[in-house]
Amino acid sequence: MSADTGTHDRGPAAVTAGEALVQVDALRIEAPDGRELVSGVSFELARGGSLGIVGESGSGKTLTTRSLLGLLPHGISVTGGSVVFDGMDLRALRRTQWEQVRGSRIGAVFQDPASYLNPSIAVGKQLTEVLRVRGGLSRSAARERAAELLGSLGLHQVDLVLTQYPHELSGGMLQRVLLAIAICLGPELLIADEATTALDVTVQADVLDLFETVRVREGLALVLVSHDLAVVSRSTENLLVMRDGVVVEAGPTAQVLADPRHPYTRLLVEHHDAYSLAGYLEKETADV
Amino acid sequence: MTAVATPEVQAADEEVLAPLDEVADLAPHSPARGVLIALGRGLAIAVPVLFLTTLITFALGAFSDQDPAAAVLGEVATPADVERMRHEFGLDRPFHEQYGSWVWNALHGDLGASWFTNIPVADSIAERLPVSLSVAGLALGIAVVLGGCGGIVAALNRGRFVDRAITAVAAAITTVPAFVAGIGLIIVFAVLIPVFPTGGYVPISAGIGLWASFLVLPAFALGLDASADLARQLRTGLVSALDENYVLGAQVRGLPWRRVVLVHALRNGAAPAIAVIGLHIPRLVGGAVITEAVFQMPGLGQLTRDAALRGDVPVIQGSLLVAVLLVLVSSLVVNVVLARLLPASERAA
Repeated sequence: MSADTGTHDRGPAAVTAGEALVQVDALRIEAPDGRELVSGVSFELARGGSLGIVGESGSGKTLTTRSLLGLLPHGISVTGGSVVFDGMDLRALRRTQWEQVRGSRIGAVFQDPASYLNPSIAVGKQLTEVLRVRGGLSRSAARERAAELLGSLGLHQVDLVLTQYPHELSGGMLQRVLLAIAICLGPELLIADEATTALDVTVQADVLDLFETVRVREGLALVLVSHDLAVVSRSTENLLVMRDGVVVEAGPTAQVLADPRHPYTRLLVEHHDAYSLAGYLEKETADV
Repeated sequence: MTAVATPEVQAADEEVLAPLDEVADLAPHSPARGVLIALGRGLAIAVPVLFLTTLITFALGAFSDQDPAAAVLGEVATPADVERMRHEFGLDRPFHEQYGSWVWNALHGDLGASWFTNIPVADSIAERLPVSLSVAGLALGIAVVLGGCGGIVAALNRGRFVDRAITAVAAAITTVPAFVAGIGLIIVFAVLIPVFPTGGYVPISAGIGLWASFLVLPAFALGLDASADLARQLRTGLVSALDENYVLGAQVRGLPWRRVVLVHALRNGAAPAIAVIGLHIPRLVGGAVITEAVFQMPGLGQLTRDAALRGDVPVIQGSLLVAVLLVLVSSLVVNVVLARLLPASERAA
């Protein structure tokens, strides 16, 4: 814990080529009609590091992370650039090879956790399914491990939660279950795409803290995608600001936020200052 | 930051988890409870339906002009003979009494006897039922296998040639009535290429291969329509299920594609198709009447048709009762299966 994860003094320069876990270079993604949705996005992420991607909806941030999972929506495809994970060219993977990477090396959680769980299967079964099918655990070992995982993510009455169906759990609990499924095989990279967006503000803070805790505890790298600057600034070291499929600004989070260079970033920061609670309080004091 | 935040996180967890107590009591038994609810609901519907249908068939028999005494005794019978005969059949009693005793006897397995042959109705049905059940059961099996495979293959190849071919063939098949399909199958597979018999039936005791060879054509004729419908419903259900986030979620976990499709997508996507099977079972039972005529099989359909033509009321009542029971039981089974497959749908009900 001595290495304070809140400090932002580690610039991209600290990431040497050798220790980079993810290297995305000049990534291009096209829609079936030839429209370019992502045009030349590049970034690197160190092992155990954290990267935030902000931008409005349609800026290409989700597609960028989906290319790391090989799960682009129907018809949309990567048309250029390279996506390298731990020295492996992800663009060259076939379906069965992807199945070896997803889950066990790259995990992901998304917005609206309820929809990412099968509505007809108890959540515990969906967690143990991964542990059994992918992790090779026996039925009883998987159940034990599942209970242990959920407990470590701050869920109580774990044995009961395991038997429940997605519609019986709250958003915060579901996101924890989804997080447990995402990290149960010990991946090296976790992608959280708007994972806290649909949650209440207090729950959102808890889940963000949980990401941070898990990141430090499991030593995994985190890509946090959000349209909300506050979410990203809170828990990432480096920041990528995207707009219309291109990166408009990149660098250490603290630096980008303190001294935004690009007009769009400046706009984001200003809006955020103006509409956040802190901004409101500041204005009140000024008025008095 | 994390070190400081940890106690807070845990304190806040208590708040987040507060709603847990509300859901705790209904949760642990929900799958079994769903099945029980479906079973109870099915029985609550089945009993009045059974009462009404038997009442109606009985009333139709009682109020029709069928006079067994006159029919059985023929033209030369004296009014006194007819009166004696009516008394023997119990037809001189009030309607409610006749119905009451029929229900009472039916509950004890006695469905009366044919007016013409005096053979107990229950015996005739017991003799004919295996024929009809074999044909309908095999037709159902064909529908599930053909329709199931067709639907899954079409859904997985959405928009491609295979999908369009399967959809087109299925659409064409649903326009063909079972008796036309039956005649077509006889012409092709029994006359032009004589691999199967043109009609008739042998019991399973004569050998499974021989028994099956008599069943293949009628079962196909009867099951084609159901398999086409099933394929189309399954394709639609599965296509929409494959678009759901939980399929993406299952892929993100690195589960093998086959498992994603067969466990996660099919479980939810098959519901409309299973409901369609439920709708088709009465048609399979009813369609057997025509198919049995085309293939000259001594089944329940033939028994009912002959009885109806002669006006043999006890036989008609008995076989209708059996048909209604078959339909009710199959829809009950379908509902229980659906409740088991989709525990979450209980919430909508």
